[in-house]
Amino acid sequence: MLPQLRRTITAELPSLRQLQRDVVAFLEEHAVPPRPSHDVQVVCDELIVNAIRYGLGARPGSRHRIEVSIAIGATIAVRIHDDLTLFDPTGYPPPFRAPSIEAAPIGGRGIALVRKATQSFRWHAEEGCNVVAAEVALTPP
Amino acid sequence: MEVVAVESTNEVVCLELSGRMDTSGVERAETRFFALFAPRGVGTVIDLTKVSVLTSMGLRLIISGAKTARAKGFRIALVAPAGPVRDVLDDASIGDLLPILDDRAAARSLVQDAGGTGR
Repeated sequence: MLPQLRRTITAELPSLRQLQRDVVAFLEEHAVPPRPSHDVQVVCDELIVNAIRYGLGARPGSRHRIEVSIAIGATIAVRIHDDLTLFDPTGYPPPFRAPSIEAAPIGGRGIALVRKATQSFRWHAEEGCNVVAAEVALTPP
Repeated sequence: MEVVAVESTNEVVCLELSGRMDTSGVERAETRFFALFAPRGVGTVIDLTKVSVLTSMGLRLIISGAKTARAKGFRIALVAPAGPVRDVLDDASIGDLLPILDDRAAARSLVQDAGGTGR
């Protein structure tokens, strides 16, 4: 059986902190190398924060759940399931490549980082919920 | 995320960042970062050597700092040796916007030599 971490958190940023601690401990326990460990942490942070920031709206985050699973096999599979507003992050456009610091947008780079960190990055709707599945390579390409 | 001013003179400021530059880390340390970053308006080194994780929230902080520096007329440089954090900076083309060096001494020389010229 593959090593797997499964957690369910509320759709609130403070819940994310405990999840991050659990993810780091899980990756360390299974001796995941620094680069894929970093990439998994980036993927979790970007996708969960994105879901909360853009999918929650004015609703209380404590009433919504985000399920996260991370499984280590030939790759590291990350699956995030939430009951927030349906949104396909894989369709988010790449960021504008600014020629100068004055022209550079402050944000909008999160999904681009997820694309860079993953071998595959997919979204689908399942019974009214968002499901994002991403795979991080265990060894450099 | 922690922010420490390892040097703060009338010529140069060196800030050492450590820990997680992600959503939680940046929200916790952003106020301290800008309190240490902007007041002197002199060449500033932001050393990311001890940063363990860099996400788009961390990039947002860096770009905000770079915009502040440009507006106030002083230069900044990043220190990020090879590794996952440097890879994120490279993937996001941050090197097109501000200098990224491998060690603090080189970054310090660069921001001092450049004075207020910016990039």
